[in-house]
Amino acid sequence: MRLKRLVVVPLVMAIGCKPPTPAEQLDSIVSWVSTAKMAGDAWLRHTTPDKYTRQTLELSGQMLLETGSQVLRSPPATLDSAAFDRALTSTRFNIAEMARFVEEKDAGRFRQPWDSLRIYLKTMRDFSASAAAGK
Amino acid sequence: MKKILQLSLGIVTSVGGFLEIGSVITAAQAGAQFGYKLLWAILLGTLCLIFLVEMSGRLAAVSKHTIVDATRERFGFPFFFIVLIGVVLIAFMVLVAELGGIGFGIQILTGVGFPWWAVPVSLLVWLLMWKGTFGLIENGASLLGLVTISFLVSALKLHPDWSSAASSLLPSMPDGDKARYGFLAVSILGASISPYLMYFYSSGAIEDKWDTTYIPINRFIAGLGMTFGGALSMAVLVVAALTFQPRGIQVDTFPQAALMMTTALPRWGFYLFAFSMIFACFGAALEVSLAIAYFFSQGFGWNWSQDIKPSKNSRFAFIYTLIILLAAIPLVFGIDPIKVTVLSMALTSATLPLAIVPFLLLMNDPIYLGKYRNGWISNTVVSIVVVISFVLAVISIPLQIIGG
Amino acid sequence: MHLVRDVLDKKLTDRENCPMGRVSGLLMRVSETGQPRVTHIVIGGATLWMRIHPVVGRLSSRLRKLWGPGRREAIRIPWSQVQTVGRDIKLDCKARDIGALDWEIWLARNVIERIPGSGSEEEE
Repeated sequence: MRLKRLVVVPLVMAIGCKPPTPAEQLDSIVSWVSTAKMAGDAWLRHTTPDKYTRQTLELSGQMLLETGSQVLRSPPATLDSAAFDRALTSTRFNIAEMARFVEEKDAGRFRQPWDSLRIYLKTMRDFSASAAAGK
Repeated sequence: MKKILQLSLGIVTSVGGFLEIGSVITAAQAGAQFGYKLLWAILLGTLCLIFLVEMSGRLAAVSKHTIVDATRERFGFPFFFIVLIGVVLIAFMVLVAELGGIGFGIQILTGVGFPWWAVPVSLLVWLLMWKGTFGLIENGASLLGLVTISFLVSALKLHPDWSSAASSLLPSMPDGDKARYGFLAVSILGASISPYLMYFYSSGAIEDKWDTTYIPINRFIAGLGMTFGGALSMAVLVVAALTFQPRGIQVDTFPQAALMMTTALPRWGFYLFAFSMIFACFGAALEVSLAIAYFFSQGFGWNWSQDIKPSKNSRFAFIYTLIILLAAIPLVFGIDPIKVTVLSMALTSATLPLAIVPFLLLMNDPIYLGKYRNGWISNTVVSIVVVISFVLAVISIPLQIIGG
Repeated sequence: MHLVRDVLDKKLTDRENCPMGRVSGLLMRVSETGQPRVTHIVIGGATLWMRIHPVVGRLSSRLRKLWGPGRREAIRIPWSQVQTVGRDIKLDCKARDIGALDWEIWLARNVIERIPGSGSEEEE
């Protein structure tokens, strides 16, 4: 029993170090685009503070950059890397715009990039689905 | 009359004190990824906890020993020392996570990052322990913790599919990532069956001078209180399932979790989440700190009581002062409380036998409990759940690393 | 009396019901007739840590000799001072006098009472 525990603990410690698979990375990208959209929606309805919304949008953008780079370094076979890269860049630009308009408290100009996220979300979902199917 | 008051306070304590960062995050991650499918894990964990808490109270009321007293006396110092190391190490991680939870709650309200709140928050927790009595801590923190009922309100407002939810109260295999499913089940079990709660509860029973006349009340408090608490955990899972899963949002970070109630409770959902986390984690931080200090003091036979001034039980006071200050350090350096939470919950599950097996042996020992020994139901339920937790932990934790 | 069950690791309280720690060990003497008799109760010190492993015990002993309040050896209480053996073991002595509270007093004076609100101001 004690030996098992000695084995389990270092294994558990290694959990944080386990690298995610490409499918998981794409799921994560969908998650962050969706997070940005939901945060934007909450802000438009005046349910969240400005600082939190801006920081969450910035965090989304940063996570998209990091995870996106990882995907592009070793992309799954079924992924059109160029298309993915373009879509990701546009998405990140949109989210950055959203963050800017939150800071400027300009709900009017915020709507357009926020609304466009719908399309990018669908695009990312399609990438994720094709990667999962190709497994 | 006094007993009825104690009973109501006890139930309130359990409800208000049930949720903390571990149960919220694990339930949220489970709901976001697997919908209702992991409700059974919360049910199982809560059921086990009800029995464990009832046993803790019964042991204290009958034998006038806390679990730690009895563990040292019955099993001797070397074994006690092993349990001490295991329990205290993990409890310390939980403390770091709870302080981080308070910091995160303040972060989403103010925009100032949680590392900046680590020291002020620890000082506040410490101050309450320094100046406060056991009653003030137990009741005050838990009354504030009642704000977590907002999760239940949110779940109801989202009109869940009750039949789907009900069928998920029985375990089933998931469609998706099985290793992740197993790992989340393990984490939920670890979040529900926190050993520090047992040590805290039995010490509280001694502080409140329980005797055998408290045994019926103890059953009510354990049963009703923990049931309500478990229902709150389930509510978190349901809310996450209905808000995050359709959107494909994984709850990897606290700011994502904060969006949980913004659709169900548009006006106040965000703020209710923030305050729920702040108060719930605050209560939990107090309980864990006390549990660790109790463990040392009772185990080594020092003077200990939350109701007497620190200068009168200096070793007890020194321990909790030290650990609260130490717990702030990782947070100041920006260690992610979410990662600490998930890890500590999984580790709790993996080391449950260490805490529970000696406890079960004590509960069947006639020297300590006389005619109030465990019946076969208590023994069976606890044994089964602990075995399940341990086996699941040993299987799924490595799989989470290797597989997928 | 079953020594391991009833005495070892039990809590000790003094004349005024002040907690004194736990029984770490027992000193026994074997008489000419071969019958072992308990002569002393031992509190704390290397005796306790020796029960984990002799190396740990020796290390604890060495550290204790280098630094620490009060006496440097483990505390030995004659068995004759044991009043009752029940849930706790009651001794006919004062905890302070035999050095059972050396660490408690040292921590209180040098750490705890230096922090405001510790309650030391209310003592006479």
